[in-house]
Amino acid sequence: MNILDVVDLKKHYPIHAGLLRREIGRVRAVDGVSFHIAKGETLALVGESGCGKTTVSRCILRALAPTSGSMHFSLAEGQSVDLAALPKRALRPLRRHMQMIFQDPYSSLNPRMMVGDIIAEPLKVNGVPAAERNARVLELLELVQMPASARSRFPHAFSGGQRQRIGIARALALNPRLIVADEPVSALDVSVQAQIINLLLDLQDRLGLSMLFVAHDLSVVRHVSDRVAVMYVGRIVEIAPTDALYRSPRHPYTETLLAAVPAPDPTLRGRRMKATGEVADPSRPPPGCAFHPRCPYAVERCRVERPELTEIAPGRFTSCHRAGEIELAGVTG
Amino acid sequence: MTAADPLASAGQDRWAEATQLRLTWWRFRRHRLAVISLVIIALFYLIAAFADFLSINDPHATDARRSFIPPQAIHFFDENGFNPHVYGLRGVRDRQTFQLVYTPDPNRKLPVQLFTRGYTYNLLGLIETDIHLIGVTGAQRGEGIFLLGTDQLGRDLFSRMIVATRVSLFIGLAGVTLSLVLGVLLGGISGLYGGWVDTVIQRVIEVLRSIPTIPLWMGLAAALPNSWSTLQVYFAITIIISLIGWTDLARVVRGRFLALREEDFVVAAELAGASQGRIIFRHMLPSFMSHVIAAVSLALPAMIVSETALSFLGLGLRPPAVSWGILLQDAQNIQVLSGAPWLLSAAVPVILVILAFNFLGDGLRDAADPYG
Ligand SMILES: Nc1ncnc2c1ncn2[C@@H]1O[C@H](COP(=O)(O)OP(=O)(O)O)[C@@H](O)[C@H]1O
Ligand SMILES: [Mg+2]
Repeated sequence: MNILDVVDLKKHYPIHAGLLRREIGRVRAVDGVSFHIAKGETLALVGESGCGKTTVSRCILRALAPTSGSMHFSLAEGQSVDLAALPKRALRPLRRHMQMIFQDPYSSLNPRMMVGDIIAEPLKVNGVPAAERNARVLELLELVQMPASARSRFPHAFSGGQRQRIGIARALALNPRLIVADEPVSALDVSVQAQIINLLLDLQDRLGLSMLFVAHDLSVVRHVSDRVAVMYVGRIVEIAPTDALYRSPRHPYTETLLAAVPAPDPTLRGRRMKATGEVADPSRPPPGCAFHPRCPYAVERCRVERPELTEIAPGRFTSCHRAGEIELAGVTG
Repeated sequence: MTAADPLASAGQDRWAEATQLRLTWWRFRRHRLAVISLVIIALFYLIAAFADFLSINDPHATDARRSFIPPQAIHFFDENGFNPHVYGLRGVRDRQTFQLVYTPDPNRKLPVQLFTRGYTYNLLGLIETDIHLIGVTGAQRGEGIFLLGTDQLGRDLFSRMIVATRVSLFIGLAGVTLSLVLGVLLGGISGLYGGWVDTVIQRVIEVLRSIPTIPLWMGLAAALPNSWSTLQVYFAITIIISLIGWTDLARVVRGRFLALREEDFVVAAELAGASQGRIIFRHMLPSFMSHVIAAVSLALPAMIVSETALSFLGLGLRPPAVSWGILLQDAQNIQVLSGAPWLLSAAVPVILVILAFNFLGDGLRDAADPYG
C-alpha cells in the first residue's frame, strides 16, 4: 500500500515585471514530478542545490500550494485524500499525519520556547491533555536519546546535533504516517551526521516510519533509503532501488553525483567523471534534456528532444535518450 | 551559540534555562553606554513625574524686578559653619542706562531648607499639596533660589526646565505610543496579508515619507485654531508628530512579519496544525517585540526633537505652555545670547536625552539581535 502517490506535481513561481506587474516568465521550480512512497518505505530525493527538492517537500506538506498535479495521501486502509485539491482550512486536521524535519537545526526551533514546550506543541495544538503531553515528551526525549532535563532548557543550550534530535522528537510527537526530512543532516558536522543517520535508522526499525529523505548528494542516503529518486531542474531524472542505483546508474547526472561519493576503491576514481558547470536556471531551462550542457554523453537529439521518464527495467526509471547505449560508472562495495 | 559563548560564564545551568528576555538583558548589561543611558532616561522620567515637587519657584510667576538674574549657586558654609543659603537681591542703578538692576547681595542671606511650602500643585495629578523639595525662608518679594538664572520676565529657568521636561518627554511618549499602535497595526496587516492591502499601505507610507516634514507641520500647525486651549494644542501636536513617526515602525513590523513567516519554526508550528492566532501571538510577536522596543527607543528622540523644533519655530506649543522648544525659543535672539547666555542651557537636557535614547536604542538592538 502506498502512503503517498504524487502524480505530475508542478510548482511554478510567476515572474512579474513592470508597472502592471505583467507575468513575463515562470520559475519552474518543480515541473512535473511523479513518485510514490510505500508504507514503511524511505524514498531518498537527491539533487544538487536549486533542483527543487525543498519545493517538492513543502508542496507535499502543503506549506506551499502546488500549481498543479495530485498528491494522494492515504489516511487509512483504502481511504485517501488528494492533498493538492484541499483548501488550507481543510488541511489543518490532516497535518498531524505528516510532519517535517528541517534542514537548519537553529532556525527550526523557536528560541523563546523551552524544549519541552517545543516538542509538546504539536500535541497541544491537536488537543492532547497536559498530563498525557508530559508523559509523551519524556518518552520522545528518550526515543531521540536526550536527557529528560532537556525539557526545561532553551534551544540555545544545545549543539546542532542535539537540536536536530529535538526537531526529530517534535516531528514524531503525533506518530505521523509520513515524515518529510529536508536535508536533515546537511547542516551538521560530519561526525554528528553519522549519529543522526543512525538515530533515523534506529527509528525506522522501531517505528516503521515512512519517509521522504531529501539530500543534496548521494553520500548520506545509501543506508537510509530503500529507493532513490534523482532530481534535476524540477524533474526526476532517475528512480531506482538504492543498491541498483549505486551499482549501475542509468542517468549521466546520477553518475556525476556518484562521482562525489568517497569511493572505497581508489582505482575506480580515475574513471569517474566530475560534475562541471552549474545547475540550469529553472526559469530558462535549456531545450531538450536540461542536463545536456553538462553531459559528456550528449548528442544532437539531447539538445532538441526532451526525454521522458521511462521504465527500463522493473522498478527502474530513467529519462535519458542514451540509457541503452552508454555504460555508466557506479560505486561498488 | 554553543558552549563557547561568553555568556556561558553565567553558569551552565542558569544559562541553559535562561529565557531570551534574560539573555537579552545579559547582553544589554555588557553595553556600558546603553546602561548609563538607561539610568539617565529613567532619571529624566522621574524628574518629569515629580516636576512640580522638584521645581523651586512657580515656573509661570513673572517679576520685573528679577529679570535676567544670572545663575546663583547655593552656598553651603558661612562663618558659622554649615548653613546652606543663597543671597538676597539688591537694587542698583546702572550708570549708563539708569535702569534699576537687581543683583545678588552677599549681605542678605536666605537660608535654604528642604520640604518648604511654595505654590500649590497636584502631586502625580492626585494629591493637592504645596510642599517642594527645596526653598528659602524669609524671602522678600522677588527673591528666591535661581540655580540657572532667570529670563527676561523674571521666571526661574531651573523650575521652567523641570516642568518643560514633563511636557517634552510625555509628548514624545504619547507620540510614540500612537505611532506604535498605528505602526504595529498597519505594519502587521501589511506583512501578514500581503497582496493589494500591502501595496496600498506601502504606497501610503511612501507618500507620507516623501512629504518634506517642515512644510507639512507648518501647514497642519497653521490649521490649528487660535482659540484652542494649551491642552488641545498639545494633543494636536502629538498627533501631528506621530502621523509621520508610525511609518518607520510600520516598516520594522512588516519586515519582521515577512521574515518570520518564512522562518522554519513558524512553518513548523503551521505544519503542526497551530491556529493563525497561536502562530502570531506565540511565535511571531515575541520574536520581534525586542525589535519593536529598539525601534521605539530610536523613534522617541525623533519625536522629542520634532516637538522641540516645532515649538522653537513657533509652530508647536505656545506660551504659557512650557516645553524645551519654548524655552529655546526664548533664547532665540542675539540680545539674549549676549546678555543672558545661561538661557541657552535649555539645550542641554535636549541633547542629553536625545543622545541617551540613541545609545539605549543601539544597545537594545544589539542585545536583542546580536547576529542581525
Ligand atoms: N518563492 C520563490 N520564488 C521564486 N523562485 C523560487 C522560490 N522558491 C524557490 N525558488 C526557486 O526554485 C528553485 C528550487 O528551489 P528549492 O526547492 O529550494 O531547491 P533545493 O531545495 O533543491 O535546493 C530554485 O531555483 C529557487 O531559486
Ligand atoms: Mg533545499
